[in-house]
Amino acid sequence: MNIYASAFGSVIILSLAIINLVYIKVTIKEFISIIFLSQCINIILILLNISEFIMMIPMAIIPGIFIYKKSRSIAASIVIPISSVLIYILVDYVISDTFISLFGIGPEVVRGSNKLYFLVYILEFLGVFCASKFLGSFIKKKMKMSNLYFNKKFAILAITSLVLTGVIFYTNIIFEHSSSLRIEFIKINGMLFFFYFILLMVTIYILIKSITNEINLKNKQIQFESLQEYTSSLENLYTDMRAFRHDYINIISSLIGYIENKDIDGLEKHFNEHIMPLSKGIESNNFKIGILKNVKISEIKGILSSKLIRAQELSIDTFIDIVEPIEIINMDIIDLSRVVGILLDNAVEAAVECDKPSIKIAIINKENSVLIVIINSIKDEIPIYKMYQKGFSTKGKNRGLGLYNLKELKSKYNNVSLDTLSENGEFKQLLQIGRET
Amino acid sequence: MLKVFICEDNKEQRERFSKIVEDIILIENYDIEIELVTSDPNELIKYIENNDLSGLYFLDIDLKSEINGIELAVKIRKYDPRGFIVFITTHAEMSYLTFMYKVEAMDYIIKDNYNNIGERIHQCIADAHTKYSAKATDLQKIFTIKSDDKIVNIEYRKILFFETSPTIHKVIVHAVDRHIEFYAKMKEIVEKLDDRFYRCHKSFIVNKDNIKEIDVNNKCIEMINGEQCLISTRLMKGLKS
Repeated sequence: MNIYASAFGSVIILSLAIINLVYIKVTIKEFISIIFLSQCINIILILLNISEFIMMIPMAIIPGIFIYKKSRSIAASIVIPISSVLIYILVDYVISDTFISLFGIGPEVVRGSNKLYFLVYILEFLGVFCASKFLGSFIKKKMKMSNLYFNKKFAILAITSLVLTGVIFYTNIIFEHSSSLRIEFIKINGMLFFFYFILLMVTIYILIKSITNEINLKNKQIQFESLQEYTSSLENLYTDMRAFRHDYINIISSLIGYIENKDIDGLEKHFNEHIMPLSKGIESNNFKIGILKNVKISEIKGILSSKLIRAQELSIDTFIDIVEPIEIINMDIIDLSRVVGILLDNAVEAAVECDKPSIKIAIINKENSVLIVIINSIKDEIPIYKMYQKGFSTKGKNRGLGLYNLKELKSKYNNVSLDTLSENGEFKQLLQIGRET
Repeated sequence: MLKVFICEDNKEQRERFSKIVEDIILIENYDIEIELVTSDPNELIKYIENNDLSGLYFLDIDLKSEINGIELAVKIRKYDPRGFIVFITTHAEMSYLTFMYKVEAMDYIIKDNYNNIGERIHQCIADAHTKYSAKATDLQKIFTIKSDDKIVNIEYRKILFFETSPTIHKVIVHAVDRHIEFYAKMKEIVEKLDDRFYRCHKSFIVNKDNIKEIDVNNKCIEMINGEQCLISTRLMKGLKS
């Protein structure tokens, strides 16, 4: 079989495997250019008469670079190409093993015959395609990879174990090629690789599971803490109320003296000076947190209360308007918490700089959606588009990732849209989450 | 012509509001008339059901009827999606954000401030009148986004460009003071717009009036506020001419 054609075949199989595994979208144009580039390098390597084992390396590196350019994730750009190579090797060995044990046909024989080679190639193609498709969809469905890419511990472990596996596979293959008992070697290697790979997958799966659990636990912890904060502020509120109720009778009795004397002017003066201020106290910030009772999603209640308590501590005037019970929001709860958290953090940061800082929040059930409104006062008008750029912040360097992340988070959802506007010295963010996707 | 509707259960207040509105129309000589003053929300619904019109609605929240003002407004929206809704309320808990966003209301008036009401009603009528006449004289100049749950109007002159969103099937409008994402196809948008807009790229439609300069080398257009959008080489010719 022509070596160029076989190299080209390998490139196609490998690139397809990578595309099946990767979580970003790849256009046909990009796909073709990856294949073209890899094949060009292959041709150069073949012309230089370099061992075909080394050819796998550029074939994995080119898609790796591409993934890095698209996703900016080093972990993904290493893990995905290596996994694809491993799958390819595995499928190759499983097929070789079956051919040897069933028909007694070794790889040398296959290489000799064009028809057989083509058959094996088709089998390999299907095998790799199915295996990578299965693995890819499994990963997409079962796990929130976006969470894992943020986790350094996991990335390092996964990369080292995958790289190590790759090295082990390759040393075995190289030894096998120089061995005189090649057929036996292939049989044993096939078995070894197969079980080793299965073991590796199980290990990584368990690892991912435990890390996802850890992340969930951490989120639960944060939620628990903010709910605790919420409870304690409700308790304060209750104490205030009790104190007020205690005073209530005294206040009423103080009026009686004026009424008995029919001293209307005195009553008016007393009322304006002593009783009116009391009612203002009730309207003060602390009492508003109770409105959150209508939020029935505890994660959201937690994040709202913790951010609002912080805002009140910064003496920002907060207004909360949640009239109807909010029970269901059709968005992953972790993502929603992050989005709301980012929006509120930004609102607080911008409001604090104003002379009369204020934040208004409303959650409204609409016919086909839930609308979350966050309004904050702003000091100066800032062009909206600038806020969405990576790294832009009114607060200097190394900040401003919030809104950029928000955009990324949001783009996963078809039913979520954000309306941003600034008018009359106020900055408004309207996050609309459709009931159906 | 803009028609005014008032729905308020209390007789004195109802008469007072309609008197205020009448006076304002007379003094300002607006092309507006009072169409219906009622205490019964069903009467109001029946009326707009049978008449195709654009109205300004003053609605009391607590109507002492089987439906309240907000529910009434939701029903009005079905027949008159572009009408102007103003809530009149005494509610001390002040859920005005909910009132506003639930039905895209224009404003709300709190009747506790007794002396203030006249002035606030005046403001609302003036506001509605400006918006309504802008629509009536040149309907083309406002871009309307209508999704299931919201209606947004943006003036053409404020639009910088349209861009396809990373989320599939969505388009983002970049306006001077606003960014909105909505479901649409670029092709449909182009058909709706007038000739000041130009499809300069597969994923961009630019408002030619708001271009500051075109960077031919980097294939991008800088807008008046400094924001940039892309232009394809093939479509650059059309923009120059």
